[in-house]
Amino acid sequence: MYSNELVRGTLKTVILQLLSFKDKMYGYELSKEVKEKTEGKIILTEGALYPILHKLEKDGYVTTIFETVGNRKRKYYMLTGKGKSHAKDRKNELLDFMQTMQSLVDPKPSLSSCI
Amino acid sequence: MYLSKEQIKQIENRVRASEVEEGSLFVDIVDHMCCSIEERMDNGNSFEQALREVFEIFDRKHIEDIKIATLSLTQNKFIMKKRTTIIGGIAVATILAGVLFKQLHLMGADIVFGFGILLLCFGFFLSLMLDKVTILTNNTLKLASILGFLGVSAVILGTGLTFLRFPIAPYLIGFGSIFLVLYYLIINVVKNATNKSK
Repeated sequence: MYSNELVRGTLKTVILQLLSFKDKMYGYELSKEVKEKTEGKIILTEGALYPILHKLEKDGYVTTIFETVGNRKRKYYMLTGKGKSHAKDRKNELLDFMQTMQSLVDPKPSLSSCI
Repeated sequence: MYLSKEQIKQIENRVRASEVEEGSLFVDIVDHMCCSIEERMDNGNSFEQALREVFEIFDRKHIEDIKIATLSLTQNKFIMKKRTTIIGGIAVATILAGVLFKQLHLMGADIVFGFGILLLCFGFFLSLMLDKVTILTNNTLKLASILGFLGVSAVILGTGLTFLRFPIAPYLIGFGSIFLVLYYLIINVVKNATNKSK
């Protein structure tokens, strides 16, 4: 499992990306998806997941609908138009950040340094 | 496999006991706990065993932590509180300055005092009410907060205007008192309903 320090800043982007793959998702589904896709290396806890989802909703990046499942209500989250474009921006920013980090922590030797 | 209504009620009571008001976050947490239990039951656990395991994770503190983290991220509570405190401080200082001016028979004492009272009512109490209303998810409690604000503001404004000998002052105190009685009635009804459901 990765340290919380590493994961914390990327969770919002991860949630936005997962929501962009499907029409609608609910909280438990999101946390399960993260666990499965990362083979348990990243655990999206409820204490991190729901504050982010509610903040995204408040900021207008996601919209919600309530559906009855079995004998209870379930809240589904969906990206809005603004959310889709935000998800794209955050993804590009993260990819750029990852490249920058790689050049910092594991720099590949350039041709000029070999000559 | 879906849980029965009686089984869900046990989970809802656990969430209510952590003082999560019925609303959006309540639905999220209850559904999350139900899904965790159903998954364990699909893997062969009994309901009681699955419930025990999930309750160990979702204890009172864990649910409260989710609630507080959600509120602090969505409501920006600290900034609101700071703003309210600053307005309140200025209002009280202005009222005290007005009283002091009056004691010293200085000019403009009534104006300073009146401004302080207005700031206290429509600055401090209004800000306090807005802080509270944005956090609450229950519409009845929101209504109670608005009535409480109107009641306190009218009583304080009426009392302040009594000192300034405004004829409208007794009416304001009267209306304010009615609003305050309504506020306490609503709060008590909601409290009793919550205790009964526990």
